[in-house]
Amino acid sequence: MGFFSRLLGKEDEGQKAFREAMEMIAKIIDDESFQNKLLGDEMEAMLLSAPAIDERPDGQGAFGLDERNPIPVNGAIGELSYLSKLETSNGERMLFHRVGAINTVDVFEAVTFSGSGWYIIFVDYYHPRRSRKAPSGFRIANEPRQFSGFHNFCRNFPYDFPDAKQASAEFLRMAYIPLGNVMPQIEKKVFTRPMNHKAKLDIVMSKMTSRSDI
Amino acid sequence: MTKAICFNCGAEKFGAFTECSGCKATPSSQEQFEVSMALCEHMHSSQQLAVFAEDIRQHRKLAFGPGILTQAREALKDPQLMSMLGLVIKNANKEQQRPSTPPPRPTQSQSASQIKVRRDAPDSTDLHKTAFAILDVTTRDNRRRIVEQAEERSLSMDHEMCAKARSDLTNPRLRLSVEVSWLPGISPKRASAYCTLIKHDLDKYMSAADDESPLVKSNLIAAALDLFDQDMDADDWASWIYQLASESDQIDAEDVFRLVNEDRAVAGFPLVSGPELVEEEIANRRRYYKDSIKGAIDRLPTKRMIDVMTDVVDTATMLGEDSAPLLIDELIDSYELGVRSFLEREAGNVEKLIGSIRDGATGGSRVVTPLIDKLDTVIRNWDRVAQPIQVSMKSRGLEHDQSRRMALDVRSLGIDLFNEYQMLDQAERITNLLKEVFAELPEVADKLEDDSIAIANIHNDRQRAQKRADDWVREITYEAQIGLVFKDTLKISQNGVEWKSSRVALDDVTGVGWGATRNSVNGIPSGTDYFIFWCDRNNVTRVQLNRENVYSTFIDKLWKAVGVRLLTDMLNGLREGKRYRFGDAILDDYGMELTKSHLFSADEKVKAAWSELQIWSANGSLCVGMTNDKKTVMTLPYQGANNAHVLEAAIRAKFKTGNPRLSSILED
Repeated sequence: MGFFSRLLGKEDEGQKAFREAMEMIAKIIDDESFQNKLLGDEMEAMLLSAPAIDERPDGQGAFGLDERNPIPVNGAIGELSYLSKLETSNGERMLFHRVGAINTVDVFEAVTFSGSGWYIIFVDYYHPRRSRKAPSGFRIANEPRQFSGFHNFCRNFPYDFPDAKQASAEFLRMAYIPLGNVMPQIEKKVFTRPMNHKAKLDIVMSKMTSRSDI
Repeated sequence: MTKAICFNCGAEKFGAFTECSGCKATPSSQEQFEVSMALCEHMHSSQQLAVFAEDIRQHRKLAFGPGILTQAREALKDPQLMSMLGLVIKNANKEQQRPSTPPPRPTQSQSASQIKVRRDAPDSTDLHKTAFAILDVTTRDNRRRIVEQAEERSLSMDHEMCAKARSDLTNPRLRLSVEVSWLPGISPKRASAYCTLIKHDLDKYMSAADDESPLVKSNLIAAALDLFDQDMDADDWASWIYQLASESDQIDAEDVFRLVNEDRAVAGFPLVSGPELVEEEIANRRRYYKDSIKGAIDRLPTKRMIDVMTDVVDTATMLGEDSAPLLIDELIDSYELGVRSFLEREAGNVEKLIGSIRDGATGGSRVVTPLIDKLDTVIRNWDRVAQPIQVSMKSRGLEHDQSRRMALDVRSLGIDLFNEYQMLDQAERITNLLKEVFAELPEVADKLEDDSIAIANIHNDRQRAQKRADDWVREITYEAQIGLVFKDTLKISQNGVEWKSSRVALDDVTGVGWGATRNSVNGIPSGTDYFIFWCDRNNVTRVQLNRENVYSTFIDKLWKAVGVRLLTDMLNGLREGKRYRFGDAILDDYGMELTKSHLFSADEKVKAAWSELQIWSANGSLCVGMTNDKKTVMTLPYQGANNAHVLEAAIRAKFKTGNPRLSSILED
C-alpha cells in the first residue's frame, strides 16, 4: 500500500470491493442456501421441499454413473458447484458440460484437465443441497473450487471452454477458474474422446428426453 | 449422433447399440456388442460402413481389419458402458459407505476383484450347457421358435445335443428342470450378457450377479466356480462358496413358480401346476450346487482344500457360533466322509504315542518330552484336517465324536503324568495344547479349563512354597570365623551345621543347646564365655566363643534351622502318645513326671499335670517344678542338656493357651 493511497483512503475502498467480490465468489461456488436463492423464490421453494440426501434411497446401479442413481444436488448452480469439486481418485479436476437430460436427470460429460479420463455423470438437481458423496473412482475436494464446467451444451467441448465462459452470466463468470488453467491443454489439443466414451455418449444420447445440442 | 449399421440386417441407424428400426434387432451378446461397435463411424468411415452393410445384406462374412474387434472388445470393458448395455455394475462406493460395524461375513464386493480364472478353464460352463443357451432361445420363445433354432443350430453344432435341448424345452415336464437351471426372471438380453461375461470378464459377471434373485445368483455362481483358479486366495474361495450356500438357502419356490409361469404364459407352454413341483427341482438344484462346490474344491491341492473348507465354515458359522446354511452343513458332511480314513489313521498314531509316553514316564521328563513333541505335531496335524468338522458340529450344537474321544484320551495322559509322575510342566503343556486345538468341543473345553485352573493353582502353591524355602535358606545361612590367630569356621546353611570342617546335616541333628557364662575375678567381670552345641545320633559338637554378636546371630539361625523342627517333631510325637526324657524327668503330652527329693528317704516320682507346674530359669538351667511343692523340681542346664530351649519354648507357649495338652500349641 502506497503512502498517498493510505493517506487518501483509496486503498481501503479498493480493498473492501475486492473483499466483497471474493466473498460473493465464495458464496456462489460453495454456499448452498445462497445458490438456492439465486434460482428465484419458486425454484428455491421447490428445492427446499425435496429431501436433503446424499444418495437417493431408491437409486439403482452405480452412484452418479447410472441414470437410475443420479447425484442429488441443489439446482443448476449446485450442479456446477458439485462437479467442480469432484476429482478423480488421482486428484485430477474435471472440465464438464451438460449434454442433456433423461427425464429429470441431467447428463454431464466430463473430462479430466489432462484429458486422460472421460466420464458420463448423472445428476438430479431437485434437492436442497449437494450430495456429500462421490461416485466410485472419484472423491470430493474438501475446499471450495471455482467452476470448471457449464450447465449448457458445449458443441466443441472442451475446446470451446473460453467461449462458454465468456457466454456465462456475468455474476457467474467471476466464479470460474482462470483460463490459464486450461488453455495450455486446449492449445496442445490433448482432448480426444476414446472409443468407449463415444459409445457411452451414443447410448446416453439415444435415451435423452431433452438434448442441449438440438 | 454416431452413424452406424445394424449387425443383423445392415440397415443404417444412429448409435452402435440402439435398436434397428428396420429389423428391430438390438445387440445383446458380447459378440454382437463387439460387431456393433465395429460397425459405427467411430471405427469406420461411411464408405466402409456401406460395404459392411452390403456384406450383411448378402449374408457374407464380415472381414474387419486387424485389431478392430480387439479395440471394440477393449472399449467394451468400460464398466459404465457395460452398465449402460444392460448389466448393473456393482456400486462399490455404496458398499464402502455402509454404516456401523463391518459385516462379519464377506460380501461379494469384497472378493469381486479377486477372481482368477484357471488356465485350463473349460470353453463351456454349465450356464452354456443349458438348453436355453445351446439353442440361444429365451424363456419367452414359443415352441415354433425353439424348433427353428434347434434346426438352425444343428447346422453348426452337435445335432443330438440340439435335439435334446429342443426336447427338453418343448416337453413341459422336462422344461421345468431346464427353467430352474437357467436364469428365471431376467431379461433375455441380460441372460445373454451373462453368457458372454462369464467367458470374458468374470469379475464383472460376479459383480453383476450380486443384484440378482437368489436362484439366478446361485446358478451364476455355481457355473462360475468351475472357472476359479486354484491359486485364488482361500478367503476368496470361501467367500464365494459361502455366497452360493447362503443364496441357495434363500431360494423361494413360490417366487420361482410365479416367474416360471409368467414366462410360460408368454411362450405358450402349459403352466406348472403347483409350487411343489418347483420345490422338487430346487432340491435337485441344491444337490447340483453342492456337487459344483465339491467339484471345484476337489481340484485344489489338499492343503488349499483344507484351508478353503476351514474358511468356509468359519465364515458361515461365525466361528461355530451361528448355524450355517444347509448347503455348508451338507458339504462338511461329505468332507468328513472324505477325510475319515486319514483321521482314523492319525487317531491310531495318537493312541500309540500315548502308550509310549505312559511307558516312558518312569524315565522322567527327558524321555517323555520328545514323545510329547511328536504328539503335539500329530495332534495339530489332526486338528488342521478336523477343524472344519469341529466348527460345523459346534454350530449344530454337536461335538465331533472322534475329536472328543481323542481329546479326552490325551487329557487323561496329562492328568496321569501329573498325578503319578509329578510332571506338572508336561501336564500343563498337554492341557494348553488341547485347549488350543480342541476349543470347538464345548464339553472338552470346559474340562480343560478346569484342568488349567487346577494346574495354575498347583503352580502358584509351588511358587509360594519355593519362595518360602528360598526365604528360609536365606534366613538360616550364616558363617563366622572364630579364633584370633588360627581361624575356624562356624557355619550354618541348608547343607548343615559346620564347625572346624565337620558338618552335620540339618535333618540329622537330634539335639541343640546354648548358653553363656559370665566370668569375674574378685567380683570384677572378666568377660563372658558363650557355648553352643548340637548333636546327632553319634557325636556332640561343642563350640565356645566370646563374641556375643556371633553367638546371638548363630543361635537365632540354629533355632530357625533346627530348633523349630525339633520342637515340631517333639510335639507331634507327644500328640501320638510318645514320652521324652529330659534329665530325670519324663515328658508327655499332659504333663511331666518329676522327682521329689527327700532328705532322709528315697526320691519320689511325682506326676504333675501342666496346670500344676511352673517354669523358670536359674543358675544357667531351665527349672520346671510343681507350683505347690518346691521340692518337686527338674533342672536342665542350658549348656549341657539336649534341647532345654526346645522344651522351654514348648512349655511357655503351652502356658499361653491354657489347653491341657502340650501338643495343642500345634493347633493354634
